[in-house]
Amino acid sequence: MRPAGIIARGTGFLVDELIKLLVFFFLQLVFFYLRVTGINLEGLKLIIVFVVVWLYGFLFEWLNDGMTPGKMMVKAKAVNLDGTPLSLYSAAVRNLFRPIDSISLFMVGLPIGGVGMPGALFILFSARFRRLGDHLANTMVIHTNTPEFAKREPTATVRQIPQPLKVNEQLLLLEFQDRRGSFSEERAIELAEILYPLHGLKGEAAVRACMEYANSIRGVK
Amino acid sequence: MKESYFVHTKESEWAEFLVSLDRLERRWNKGKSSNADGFTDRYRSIAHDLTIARTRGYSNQLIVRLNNLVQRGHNLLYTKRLGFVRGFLNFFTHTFPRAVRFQKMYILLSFLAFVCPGLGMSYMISTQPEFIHTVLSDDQLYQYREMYDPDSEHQSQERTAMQNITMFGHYIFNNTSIGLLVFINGLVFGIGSIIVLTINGIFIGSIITYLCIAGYSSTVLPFVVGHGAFELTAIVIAGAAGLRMAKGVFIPGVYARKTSIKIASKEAFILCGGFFTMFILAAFIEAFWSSSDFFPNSIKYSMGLLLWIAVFYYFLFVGRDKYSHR
Repeated sequence: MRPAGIIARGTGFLVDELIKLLVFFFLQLVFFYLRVTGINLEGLKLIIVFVVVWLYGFLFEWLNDGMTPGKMMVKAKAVNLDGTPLSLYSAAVRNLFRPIDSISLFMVGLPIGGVGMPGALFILFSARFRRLGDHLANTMVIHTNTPEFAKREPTATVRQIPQPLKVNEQLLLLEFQDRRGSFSEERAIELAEILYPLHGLKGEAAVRACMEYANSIRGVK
Repeated sequence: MKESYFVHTKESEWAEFLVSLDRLERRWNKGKSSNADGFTDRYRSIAHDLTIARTRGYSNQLIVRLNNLVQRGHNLLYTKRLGFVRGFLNFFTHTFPRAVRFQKMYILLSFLAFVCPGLGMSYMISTQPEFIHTVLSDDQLYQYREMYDPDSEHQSQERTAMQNITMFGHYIFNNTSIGLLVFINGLVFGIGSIIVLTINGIFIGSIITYLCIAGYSSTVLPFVVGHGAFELTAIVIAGAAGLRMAKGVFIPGVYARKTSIKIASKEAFILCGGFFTMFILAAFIEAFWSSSDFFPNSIKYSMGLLLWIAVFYYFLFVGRDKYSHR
């Protein structure tokens, strides 16, 4: 599980707020039109506003597997700390404290501030990027997409590594092979040439050498 | 063992597990996962594979892949599934009334903060009616008198269904917002709950006394008595929840502050769920029953009495069984 950081969560938050704003705007329009035509449904409007203000996050997270529309957009979802889907209780608690997390410190008279400062500070200074509501509900927000790994070419060529490598050095080579697809040609060469003392090669050949080292670590079927 | 050989020997087993995961994750299969098809055995063996992959320093790609499988299996096995209806019923027949009895000190404190200023104000106004001007301006008083004047024109008209719904929405929004304010103020400023409770107590006490003295008791009291049973108790409970939260934040006692806040939020949250529902109930009664002119006052009084008894019975006796002492 990879916890989602402040950028992803902030974007999701802003999208959610924007959606709420649009809903209010739309409501005002519709009910204004209805009022003009003589149908007064002010109460219905208030009920909808009430649901949107207090229950938006809760209902979405509870019924949609921890995802509000904003979270869906940034590919994140709220889960319990052990990774299980949110229960009714945890969805309710983390949304009950949303007003406190998203209060602006301007409102309590402090000279610093911005939207959602307490929540943002909590996210920045906690290990798994959890806001106050997350701490109280034992939840966190994680990315739902898994990192993409390049398909390995079925090259069977193996090159003996001249000297024994430590485990984390071996892992670096494996990682290099897995993420080869996300580097540009130049970057791959640049990275591979760091190991010049080991293989004594330059350019394209160095990259191939590293791939073959990785193959030998991984083993060939 | 090299990584690729490890993958080669285990590949088919992982693929099978993936198939059963896909099958079980579909909504209508949830809750049916048993070990009949060896799901838990396979889960265990794959969790073991993950450990091996980690300790042998296999590639991150493999670890992520296995971790995903284990995570999905874990979620299927360990997600709590208390059916919605059962969870809901359980909350109102056991959890909530027990929580209220458990937090009786906070309830008492909140009750005193709400009722004492109200009664005091009520006493002051009944001896010196001009005292009302310390609370309300002349304009507001005029509005209230207008609203409850038994001789005014609008008292004789029954509200339409549309107006009832309008008022329902209005009451829901106002009442629950006050309740949540009471609660959240408890958390942020500690003493905030008490202040909001006191202000509301003073306001309600003085306006009702004032209107009764003005001779409008035949319209005010039947209106208030019905939904008051839910609304007034809900305000007190909201105050108690706020105070419980404040205690957790500011007076952690033997706990570390973080732990203390967590315990407090867990306990206070139960009260929150309860008072939230009570406010909605109260708004419903207020909009469709209290304001209706269809029933004579005697029926409204007896209905009100019944509701008060029901509420007290609920909080004193519901949810007690031979295993619980609360």
